[in-house]
Amino acid sequence: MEFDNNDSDEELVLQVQKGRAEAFALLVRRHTDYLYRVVWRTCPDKGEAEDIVQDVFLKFWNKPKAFDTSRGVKFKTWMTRVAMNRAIDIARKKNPIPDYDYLLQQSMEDPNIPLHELEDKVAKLELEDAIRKLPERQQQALNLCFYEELQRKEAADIMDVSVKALESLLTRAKKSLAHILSERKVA
Amino acid sequence: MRHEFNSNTYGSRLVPPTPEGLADRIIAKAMVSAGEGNLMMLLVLPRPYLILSILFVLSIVAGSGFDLGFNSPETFTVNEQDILYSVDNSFSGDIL
Repeated sequence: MEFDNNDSDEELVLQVQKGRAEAFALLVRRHTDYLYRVVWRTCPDKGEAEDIVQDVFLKFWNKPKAFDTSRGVKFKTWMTRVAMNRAIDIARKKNPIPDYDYLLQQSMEDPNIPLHELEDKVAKLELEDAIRKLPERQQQALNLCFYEELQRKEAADIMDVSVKALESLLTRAKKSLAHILSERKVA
Repeated sequence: MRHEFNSNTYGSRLVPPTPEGLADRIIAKAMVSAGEGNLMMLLVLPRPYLILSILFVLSIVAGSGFDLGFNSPETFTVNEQDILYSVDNSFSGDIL
């Protein structure tokens, strides 16, 4: 049996539960980049983020029945929740500091990068720094809704809150962010 | 500079690219943990990992002292004397 990108996550999960390695490989290739981004934003350490993504997939492979298809939760939602919880635990313990120099270096090494793009990157670093000053839950809400463009319902399911509570978190996050950034301009 | 927060800001935060080959490494590790006897796993192993796995097994075999049949003393009959006296002296032409 061949699998391709037309197969839904849930169909592939059923095949993984039957021991089909090809279905597992397709799921990993489909979601690794997304999961790495989500995890890194919560725990901005390259090595730790890589380990977390790896552990989540390997645990699913070793115990595929841990994801209960009958509960009506999407695989992506379940996987993101597991990964984010791990990332939060590790971030609380180790409090990693993102390597902004490394991120800027990537741009600096390109001799053809236009000046406005470089300015844009520096502005993003400011924004990044401001987001890191927000409470943990507000950061998560921003990451999932604005950066990963998840539906409100999906993001709420991942964070285990109601849609209303999620919207409240987003409103407070935006207000706090505007406040932090305006204070910087004055300073 | 104004920071926009809307649906068009996808990817606007700085995130390092996913480490190269991460997905392949995860798949390879899963295949190993699934039990070495499952030959179906070989179908999804990326080629470099497959080659490395084969070399790894061969290195263990070679390192264990198992005699693969090469250089066995029974068949190695040439000795120093044979080599020394094997020079062909029949050449008698004028080399100049």
